[in-house]
Amino acid sequence: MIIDALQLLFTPWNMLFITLGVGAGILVGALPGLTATMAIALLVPFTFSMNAVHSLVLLGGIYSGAIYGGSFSAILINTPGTPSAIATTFDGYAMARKGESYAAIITATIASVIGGLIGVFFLIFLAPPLSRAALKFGPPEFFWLTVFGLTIIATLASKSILKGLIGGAFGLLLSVIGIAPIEGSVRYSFGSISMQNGIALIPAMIGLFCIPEVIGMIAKKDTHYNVIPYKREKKLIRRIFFRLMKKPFLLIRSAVIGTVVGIIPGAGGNIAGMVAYNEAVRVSKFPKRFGTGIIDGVAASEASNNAEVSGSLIPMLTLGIPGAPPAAVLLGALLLQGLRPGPYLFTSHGEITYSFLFSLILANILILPLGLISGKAMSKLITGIPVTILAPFVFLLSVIGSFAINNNMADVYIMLIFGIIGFIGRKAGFSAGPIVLGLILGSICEQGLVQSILMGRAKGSAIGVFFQRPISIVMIILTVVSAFWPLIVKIKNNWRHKVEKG
Amino acid sequence: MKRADRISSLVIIGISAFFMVEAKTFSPLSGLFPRVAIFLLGGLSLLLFILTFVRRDSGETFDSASFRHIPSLISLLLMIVWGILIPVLGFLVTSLIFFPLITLYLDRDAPGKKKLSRIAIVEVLAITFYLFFTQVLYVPFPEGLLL
Repeated sequence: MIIDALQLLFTPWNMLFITLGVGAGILVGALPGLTATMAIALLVPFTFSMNAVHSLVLLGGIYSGAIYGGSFSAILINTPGTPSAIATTFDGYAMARKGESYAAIITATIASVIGGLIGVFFLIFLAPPLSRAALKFGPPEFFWLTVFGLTIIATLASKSILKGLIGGAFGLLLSVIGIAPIEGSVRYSFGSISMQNGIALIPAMIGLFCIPEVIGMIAKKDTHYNVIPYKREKKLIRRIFFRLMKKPFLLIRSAVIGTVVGIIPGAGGNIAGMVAYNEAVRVSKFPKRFGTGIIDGVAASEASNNAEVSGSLIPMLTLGIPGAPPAAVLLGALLLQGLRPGPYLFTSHGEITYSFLFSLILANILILPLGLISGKAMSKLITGIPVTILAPFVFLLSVIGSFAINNNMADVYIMLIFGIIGFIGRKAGFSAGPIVLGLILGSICEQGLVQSILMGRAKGSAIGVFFQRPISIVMIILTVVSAFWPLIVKIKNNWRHKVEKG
Repeated sequence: MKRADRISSLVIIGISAFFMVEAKTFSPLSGLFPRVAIFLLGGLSLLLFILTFVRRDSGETFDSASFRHIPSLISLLLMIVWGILIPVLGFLVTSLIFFPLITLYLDRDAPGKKKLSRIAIVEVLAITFYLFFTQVLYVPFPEGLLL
């Protein structure tokens, strides 16, 4: 079956479709506001008349390419092209500010390829057991997962942990706007029908990251965007490749985190990237260098979010439960082709399924040449455009990106309001990262909390529901360790100093 | 930053109080999580406010190193007006007006020839993106009085 699948895959048409998919995905991902979900959803109707393999390899290529492409704008203009690239901004943009934009793109490219390939390995060999484990995630586990996620704020808050926590709490509060998931009260909609759906993540994210950056470009006296322009260096790709190869644990750990987070339905690439970044900081011997523009930060985020692509496909292919929104649209494409997810997908339609899985390997490998070529061109372009054109152009893209999500002007206004909040917040020392994290995790956390309380009422013991389930206990331990990690490191260092002094 | 911290913490406490008053109308389970978030936000902001009296000041009111306030505020204002006028004039028309307007404002000291070439570039960019999104990606941008 594997040989049949390979024969089915290696045709000129399939190669063309994978290349087109990855290329188009990179382009879509690089434009802020245009997501992988949107690109796949737009193409699904066109793939209806194609044969199943052509259709799936094209859409798989777009998914992989778009998640990687999000790193371009994250690095070059401090605006994540897709939510998955939020954590890439932390060090990627700092590298660009030092004139190392192409080095950051090379790092993102190599890490994405390695992360993506590790993810596909898990998808091909470990899909069924991992899916079964994901199904054990109930409301209490989701609640503790989000509490664990919130401990990342200490890492994201660049200057003050207290301000980071305030930003996180502000994001949590904003996440409750709209109709409540349980009991259905309409909260803080101020009479607006658009607000009943809550605050859309992408316009808010574009506003918080992009608008302050545009204002920052204008406010500074530089004629071009980066203070230090793009530098041409010989053997840069080779140098970064060998530097990354010396950090195998960073790449593997981030890819495993990405795959695991991808498997859990509801937790997407944005959470994967931030968790992997946080773990990279926590494990590093030089945690204070993160955020100043080092390749480790970019590699952690990018290896993780590209591994998440395959992770999100694991429950989709084996159980029919998509792990992330783009996987949900891919599920639609699968059903359109008459392929029903489940164990039979790997037996009755094994050739098509394995062709699709192997195509993801090719898509990830293709990211390398396509990403490096387009990344170099983009680096030169962005740093070469005068600020007087670049600033309003980025704003134009922000308007387009915000509008195109739901074809709704309300999202453009949300982007503008969050832009003003982000601008004032940045001036007052509040970073955008914790606010976005609160906004992402808030709704998952609330649903987990309220449903767990209801489960507790039904079982007669809320404590049992929250504190006695095995995965919950693991999540609680991880939360405590993560929250107190800075203290643990301090105690460890003090102890080491004492030992060295004798 | 002491004064900025004091002002921002008071503003956030005010926001928390406003959200708290509104939360009283919610059903018990719908209001549970908002109340938790409000207490967290209000409590942490109060702590920040108290700390402004305890900690030493770093000097600046806001983070304003090498910051040109007037051009940035005028550009922000132009962007807001741009966004507000989209439903009235349409996406294409507002883009063709405001994109070059901001470029012209930022390039106000440049020679005339340079200004003209930059206006031509931004108009072409606006039209290209408009056509790409409407004709290739089928995004129905708002139409207004003219287009």
